[in-house]
Amino acid sequence: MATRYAHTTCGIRILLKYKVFTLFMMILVSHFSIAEEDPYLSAISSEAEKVESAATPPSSETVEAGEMDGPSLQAFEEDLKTRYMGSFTFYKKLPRRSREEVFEEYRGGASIDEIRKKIMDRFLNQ
Amino acid sequence: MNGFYLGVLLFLSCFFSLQVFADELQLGEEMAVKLTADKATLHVIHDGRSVKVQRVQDPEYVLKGYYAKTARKCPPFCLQPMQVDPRVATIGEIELFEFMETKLRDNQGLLIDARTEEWYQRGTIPGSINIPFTVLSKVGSAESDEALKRFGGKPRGEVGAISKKLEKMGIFGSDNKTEKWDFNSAKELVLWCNGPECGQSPRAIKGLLSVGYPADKIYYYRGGMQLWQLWGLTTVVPGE
Repeated sequence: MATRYAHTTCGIRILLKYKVFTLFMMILVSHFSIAEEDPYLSAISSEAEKVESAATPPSSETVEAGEMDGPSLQAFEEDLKTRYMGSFTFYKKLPRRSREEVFEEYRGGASIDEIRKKIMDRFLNQ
Repeated sequence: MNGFYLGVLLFLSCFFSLQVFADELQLGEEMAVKLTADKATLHVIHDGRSVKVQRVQDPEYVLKGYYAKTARKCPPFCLQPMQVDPRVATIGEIELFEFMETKLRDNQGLLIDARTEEWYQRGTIPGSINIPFTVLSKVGSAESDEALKRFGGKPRGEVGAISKKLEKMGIFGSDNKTEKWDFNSAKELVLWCNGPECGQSPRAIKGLLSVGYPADKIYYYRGGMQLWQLWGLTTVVPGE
C-alpha cells in the first residue's frame, strides 16, 4: 500500500514537473514573440499621437468665409433660389419638417447636388 | 387620371435627373483641379453615406501637419520597396480611383486601411474599412479567419485524402485553394497605410500571402495617407 502511494506521489511529481516546464516554455515563447512585435507597435502608437484628427479638404462648397458656424437658413434659401430656381420651387412646396431636414443636411456638409436630389426625393415621395 | 399624374411625375423625375447630371457636368467644368483630366470628382460609400472625393481647389494649398513631415526615425519607419512581393501589383491614385468606381462600388473589392485603429480613427481614405495589419499577420487566429471570411474566403473544413490527391494531380481544380481555404470567390483587395515609409500594409499583405490569398487579388497602394493628403484629396474621420 505504502509502495503504491509512493509511486503515485512520484508520478504526480513528475507530471507536475513536466507541466510546469511546459508552462514555462509557453510563457518564454510567447514572451519572445511579443517582444519582437512590441517595439514596432509601441513606435506606431507613439507616432499616432502626433497626428491631428481632421478631415481634409475642408469643403469649399459648404463652408464660406465668415460662416464657420454654418450657413444660415436664409443664406441657404437665397443661394438655392439664385442658383437653382427649379429646386427652390420644389423645396418651397415641401412640408416644414422636410425643409428643416434638407437644411440640416446642407449644414452637415452635403453638397448642393446631394441637396437637390434630396429635395426631389422628398417632393416625389410626399 | 392616376396614370396621367404618374406620367407627369415620371417626366419630372427624368427631367430633374438630367438637370442634376448636367449641373454636375457643369460643376466638373468649373473645377480647376480635377482628379483626372476627364474626372472632376467621384463618390464612394463610406459608413453607409455617400462621400464626394475631390481635390482641394485652392491653388495656394500647401500640406501641413503630420503628413507634411519628410523624416521619421528609420528603423522602424523606413522607406518601403515599390513591390511588397513580385506577385502583388503596386498601384497609384488613378488606379485607386478606378477601383473605387468599379470593384468597390460593385462590392467585388474592399479598400483596406491596414493601420492600427488609433490611426484609422484620426482620419482615413473614404470607402476604407479598418483591418489592422496585426490581425492579418496573425495567421490562423480567430480574428484573422474572420477577416478572411469577410474578404470572401470560404473555410474548406475537412478535405478528404482522395480529393487532396486529385487536386494535386490536377484532376480537381485547385486554383485559389489551400488546405484550409477556398479563395475562388475572394474579393479584390487594395491595402494601404501611412505611405512609403509605412510597413503596416506590407506586413498585412505578407500575412495574406502566407495563408494563400491569391496574389492577383491583392493590390498595394504604396502612396497611402501621405500621398493621398499631398494631392489634397478628401479624407474622412470615422464617426463624424
